[in-house]
Amino acid sequence: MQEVSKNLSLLWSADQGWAEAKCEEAAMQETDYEQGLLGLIQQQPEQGLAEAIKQYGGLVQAVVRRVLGNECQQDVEECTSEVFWRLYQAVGQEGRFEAGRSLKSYLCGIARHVALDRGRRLSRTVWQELPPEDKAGAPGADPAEQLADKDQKQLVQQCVDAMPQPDRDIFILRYYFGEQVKNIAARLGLETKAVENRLYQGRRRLKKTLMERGVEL
Amino acid sequence: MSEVNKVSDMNNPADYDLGAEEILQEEIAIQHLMEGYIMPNNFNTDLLEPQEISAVEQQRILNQTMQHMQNGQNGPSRQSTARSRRSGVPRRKLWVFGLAAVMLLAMSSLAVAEFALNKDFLGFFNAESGQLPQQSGQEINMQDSNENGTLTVEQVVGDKQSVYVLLDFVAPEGVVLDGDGYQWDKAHVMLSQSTGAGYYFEELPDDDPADNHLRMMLCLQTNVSLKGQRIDLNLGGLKGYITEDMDYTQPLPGEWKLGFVLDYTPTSDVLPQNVDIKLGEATAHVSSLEISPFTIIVDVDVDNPEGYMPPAGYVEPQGGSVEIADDGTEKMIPYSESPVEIKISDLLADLDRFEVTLQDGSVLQTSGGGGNAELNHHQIIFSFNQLLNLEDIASIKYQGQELQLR
Repeated sequence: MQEVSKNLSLLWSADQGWAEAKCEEAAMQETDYEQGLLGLIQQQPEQGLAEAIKQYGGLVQAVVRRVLGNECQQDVEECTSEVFWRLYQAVGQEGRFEAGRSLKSYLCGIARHVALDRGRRLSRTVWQELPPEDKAGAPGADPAEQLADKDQKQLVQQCVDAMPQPDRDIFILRYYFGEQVKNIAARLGLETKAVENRLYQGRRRLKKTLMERGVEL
Repeated sequence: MSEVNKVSDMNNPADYDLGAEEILQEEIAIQHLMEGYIMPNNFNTDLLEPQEISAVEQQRILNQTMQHMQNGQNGPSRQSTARSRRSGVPRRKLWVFGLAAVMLLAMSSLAVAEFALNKDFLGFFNAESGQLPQQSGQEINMQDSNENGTLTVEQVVGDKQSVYVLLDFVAPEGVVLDGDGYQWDKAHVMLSQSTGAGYYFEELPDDDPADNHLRMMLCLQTNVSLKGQRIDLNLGGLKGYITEDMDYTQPLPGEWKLGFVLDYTPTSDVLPQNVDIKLGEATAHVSSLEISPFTIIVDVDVDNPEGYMPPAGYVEPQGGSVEIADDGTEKMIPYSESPVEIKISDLLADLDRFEVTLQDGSVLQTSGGGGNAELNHHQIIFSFNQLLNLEDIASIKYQGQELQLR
């Protein structure tokens, strides 16, 4: 019986190794493709951007739609074109693409920022008494302000990246892309309650990490 | 982006005690923390459900992108400019620095008769010189300087309830302001008589995105007349967003304080209305339309707001509203629990339900909508990316109804 377990374990390890090798191979192919695409954008911008829009346009629009929270096609298309314009600007400038960072990840980040910016412009304002925006120094000040330096930003990065799967992806979908819990649950085939609990675990983990550094949420 | 999710976990008594509001606050705080997060390469992007876009749409996006490229570094019109991080010495040497004390200079004031719209205003409104009546604007030219920079209020234009303030900021030589969408960390904007107002700052395109110079517009709307009112600004902590770092720059130290009185003459056409609109069981009535070069104000009376129901096809906003108490503390109210007047106001200010068609058949792009929400009366102000002229407007459709223009 022990022998069978051992064999199964070896078989599993072999499968796992094969899967990891396949993933690495796919990642290398993707990197090669991205490098080629960036070169094309630099040398022949129109052709390069056409290929980039074809390849990644749908992903960029998916991020924009989620962040904007609306389906106004004009807004979505304007944001999408701005994302690719920013990509064009970034191409060829040293230091724009961090080593090891994929184009997909870069585009998702830019799309999120552009859509947040657009959302702020489109947001409907209900008048309030003119509020002071200065919250610095106030009790319970914005934790993002407390986490001003890069080291502490890295702390958030490391903490989220270290979450087990699927918790990490759930956390990113919810708090980076603003996805609704019920949609996350439907996509992953989980109960809403299960997603809420995983988000809770993620929040608790992040809070604990931050508290160890003296930052309170 | 946020919604309330009550998490009840009996194994975690501390969290079990958290109410919906606390969880919402915590979620918002975490969303802020994620500002600087970089999505890992192995994130499963299929979870975002990307959909293929048609060849026609791809071409449309490509055309827009190429258009941005032709516009040069200013990029998309009315968007914050993406800026290259170039090194080098800022080309401007306009101001003398080293003053420890805050200095307030009124270089000139109230030259209404000589007012000519600045080129940044022209760009902001996609306007041409001479398109705006002279009395709608006012030269201010006030400066406040300290060792961290000089802030100048150059001009204002506006109408009865909206004002646009053109700001110029120059940091000390050697400081490169090359982030995106600069904002003030600390922004106190005070009016002498307002009971309520909303405002935002927008960075404007400038000639050299990697120098020490910024142009900004303060856009402010209020629920009472601005004529003769004094605006006091107390601004500090200027910070920009570095797109490639996905993070904000360190806020620039220092504060700038400026105050000035609005003395322009608003112009507008007031058109009485008699149009009913459907809000479920509630009866709403558009009573007035006011068109100025900058905005369109719609007045709506609601008889029985308790009968409000969102109309078919209307997507209610996610998240919630912020309630500000007398002591300045903010409280998040989830949308589902927001008062009915807020829900009605959200619907009435929905840009998708307000359509202005010009005589040439084009539809005017609405840039913003907001308003004053009372239980039985709502006033909504719509603003645009270009100057308005009643004679150029062919029709206005609001909440599915045609409003009366002639």
